[in-house]
Amino acid sequence: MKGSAFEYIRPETCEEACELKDQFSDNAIFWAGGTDLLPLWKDGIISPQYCIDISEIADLIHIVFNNSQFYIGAATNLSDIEASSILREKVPSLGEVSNQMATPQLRNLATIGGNICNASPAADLAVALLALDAKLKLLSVKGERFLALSEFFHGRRLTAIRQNELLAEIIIPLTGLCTTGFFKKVGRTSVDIALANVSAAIIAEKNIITETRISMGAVASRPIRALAAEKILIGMDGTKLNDFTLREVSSKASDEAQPVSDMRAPVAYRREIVKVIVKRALDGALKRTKV
Amino acid sequence: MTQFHVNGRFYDIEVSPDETLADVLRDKLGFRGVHVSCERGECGACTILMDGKPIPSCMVLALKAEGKEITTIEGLGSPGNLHPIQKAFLEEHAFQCGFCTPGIILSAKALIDRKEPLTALQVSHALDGHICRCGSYPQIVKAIMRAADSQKKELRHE
Repeated sequence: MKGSAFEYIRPETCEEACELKDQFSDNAIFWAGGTDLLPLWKDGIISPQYCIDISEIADLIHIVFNNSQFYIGAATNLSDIEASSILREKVPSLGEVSNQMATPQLRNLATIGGNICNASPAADLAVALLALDAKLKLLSVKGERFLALSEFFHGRRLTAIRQNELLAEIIIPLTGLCTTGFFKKVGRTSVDIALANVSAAIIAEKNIITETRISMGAVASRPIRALAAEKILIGMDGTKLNDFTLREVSSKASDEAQPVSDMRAPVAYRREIVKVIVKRALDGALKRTKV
Repeated sequence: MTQFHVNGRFYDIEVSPDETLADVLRDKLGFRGVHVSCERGECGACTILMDGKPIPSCMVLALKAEGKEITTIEGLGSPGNLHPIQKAFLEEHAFQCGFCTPGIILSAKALIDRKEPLTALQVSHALDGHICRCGSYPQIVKAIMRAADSQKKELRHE
């Protein structure tokens, strides 16, 4: 059963969008690509009275590199992320993840902000952005607020966003020497929701690993970091890592996963597959890290 | 009243906010080449071009299309004067039932319009979002490669 009819509003600025949301509160929903929301509405799971279309707000569409940080507008399409040559050069994992998501046609509609706000435990971009230590810029009539992506997800479809807030920008710091992610997804085709997805980033200084980030999706109620596994590599020489150590890290990450069985895969399979793709993601990230 | 710009013509019609672009194109404007199947944006049958980019029209609110240029299969060629991609599909026998064909041809048009060199693999990737239940994929890829080739030749002659 479809949700009931709604009023469609297309504001031209972020200020206007925030004012509308403040006024209509829970009765209104921000709508960007709509590729997650429209099916929910068609199934009657959501039934907003007001649909605030933010997909045409110019301030929300950009990919800017400035002062070793990337600023990506929340309404930027996945296809634009996929096509951005500067992103491909500096943060290759984002290009990798976006061209493994959904279909080429859906990528022309879907937005980076939508993928985050939808808060699916299996969200591909969210997993890649977690490994990149992304920050979020949230706007409301009261002003702006910054939040680490790692603090944003509370559970399946539950986030730290307040009901009057608009996700405006995703900020990716390319700290110091190198942050390169690597993304791996397991699914039958890209249209499928991931059985498991993993991203890894390694930062090294004079060959010595100073920071590792491993993020995993579809193995908990929200995208998570494998914090214990990440610690193992710190202080090690990135050029001398052997398979044994990397296997130890991926086993640990697999222990940290809390997968459930569902129609897509059972717990045992997910644990096993996480072990395999964490290892591959680390291999890939190490190759890319300028140690 | 909302104004739609479809295949080079303007249409002023009344639409409700909860109608999808596919509904409006098919039922209100009569573009029956917009085929609707999964209604989840996964099968690709309802693909149209919005400002030159392929999108699943079942996944867009119709009002979003206001001010954009829409192309459906009806905007490409006519029975007496087929578009080069349509000709290539005939020559390569690139369909059986034809249900997925309009969507695929529009995705192919967006791909060929980029005027970049194409490999068969790139063509397959560009068709990731299309399902052909008859399984004509190899012929479809061949047809698109043929159409891209003939465009390249035309460019050289210009």
